[in-house]
Amino acid sequence: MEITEADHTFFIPERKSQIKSYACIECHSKPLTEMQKGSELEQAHWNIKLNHANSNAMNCATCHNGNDMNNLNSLTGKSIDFNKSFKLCAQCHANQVKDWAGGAHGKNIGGWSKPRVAHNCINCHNPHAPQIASKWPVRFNTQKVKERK
Amino acid sequence: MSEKKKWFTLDFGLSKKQSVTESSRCGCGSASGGCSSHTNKTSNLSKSEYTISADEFDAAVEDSMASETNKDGFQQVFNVPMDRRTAFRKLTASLLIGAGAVQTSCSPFAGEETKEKAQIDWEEQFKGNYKLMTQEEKQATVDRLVRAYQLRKKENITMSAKDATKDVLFGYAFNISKCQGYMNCVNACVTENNQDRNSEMQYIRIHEMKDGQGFKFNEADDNFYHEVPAAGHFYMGTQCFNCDEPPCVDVCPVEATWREEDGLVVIDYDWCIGCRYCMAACPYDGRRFNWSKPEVPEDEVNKNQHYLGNRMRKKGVMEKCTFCIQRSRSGKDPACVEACPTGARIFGNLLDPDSTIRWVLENKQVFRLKEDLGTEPKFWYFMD
Repeated sequence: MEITEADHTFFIPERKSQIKSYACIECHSKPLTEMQKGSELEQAHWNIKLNHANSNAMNCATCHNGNDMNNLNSLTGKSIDFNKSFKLCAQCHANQVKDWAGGAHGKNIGGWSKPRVAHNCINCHNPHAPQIASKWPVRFNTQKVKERK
Repeated sequence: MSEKKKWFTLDFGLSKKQSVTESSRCGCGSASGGCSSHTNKTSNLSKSEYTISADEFDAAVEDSMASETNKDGFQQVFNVPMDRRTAFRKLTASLLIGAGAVQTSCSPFAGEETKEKAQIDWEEQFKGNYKLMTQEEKQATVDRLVRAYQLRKKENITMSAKDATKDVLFGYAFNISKCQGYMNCVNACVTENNQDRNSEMQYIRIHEMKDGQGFKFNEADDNFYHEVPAAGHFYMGTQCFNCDEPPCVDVCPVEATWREEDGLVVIDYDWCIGCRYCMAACPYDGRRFNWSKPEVPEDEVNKNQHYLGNRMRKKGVMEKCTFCIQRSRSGKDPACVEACPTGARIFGNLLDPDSTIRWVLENKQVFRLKEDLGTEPKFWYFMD
């Protein structure tokens, strides 16, 4: 889907269709406080551990609105579409989003020619634990070791 | 003899003086005609040869240009002025191969396929330099190579001879604060470009460097195998930078490597003689040599090929990164850019003011390696 951010217009993958059980209100038919009481309903999302800033700055309600589960929630209580979640990230990570809009941060997926297609923030970073874990390199050159002996 | 001459002679107003001095004096020091060169010299100096009008000059220049650019195949090899020694050397080398081809193609016992193979080999042997070919000739050699592969390996490949697109100049940017040393780029590159698996050739090197000590390539490790990113280190990738003033091109004695219009520095693997001058001239270790016959398992061969890119090489020729010419000329990103999970690699058209590469160059602090050498690499590094 096409977006315009900081004078740059490009495409990002659509998100809502990728969320397994969107729309959220299909389950969240009652306010959260009522759902927490009723034990007959299956508990969901309790496996999510928030590892994103500290608990002073962030909890579930920083980004989600219990009264409007279908949309994200800005710091000032404005509604943000799930498809444009970068607007939520931009509230704190303004520099990264500026770089991303310009093309210095993030991943280009459509090739160099037009139209430009880039990954959205959440395509690489898990918003609940945005730090990317360390891993092993996918390659080790054994011939190089032999040659340099 | 003067009418048949193929070259033109410039008249700087010296012809008269020269003819006088030439005829009056000679290399032997005597003016009397004691040595045999006197008679020949004077007889050759007819006026028509040395004076030429402006129109005639232009026509002659055009003539010679046309004959140079249109020459191909047999003409390119044979229809050139050369001395006896060069002629003999070229002939013997080619005939050794040609004789084999002729023998097979004329043999009544050889099958149709063998004959066709021999025919292709013969035509490939005497084809000209790719750089000088017309688009039809390029297509013809590509078709021959595809057919030869089909005959030998029973597999179909596609090979392109796509030329540079107008108003495109490729550039590359590398974010050293984003690269984590995962090496996905190297794997993607090897798979895409059909590099030799036995020698584990790779165009890209990722250097693991210590923070805060500058770029010390001699102390950096380019073949690490531990959990990455390692604490206190950053990662810097090098490969061919496709310089705008490529020193490797200048040193090539046979013009088998050149800079294309879109800035890619390419090699005609069929014209390369494997002298490795270019390897020595490159200040960035961008070039690789095939010490042995490159081998790729048939099911791993990337069959989407370009003549100047990832088609199968042979033993004894140079190769290098071409920013994946087979991909970039069809609008895609090079394989390394596509494979990088961190987004540290940015690729695009430097002539397009709206491209991401231009935004990076205009808004980030960028630098290039060994800029003082004047090689003008089209590969910039930057930090967040």
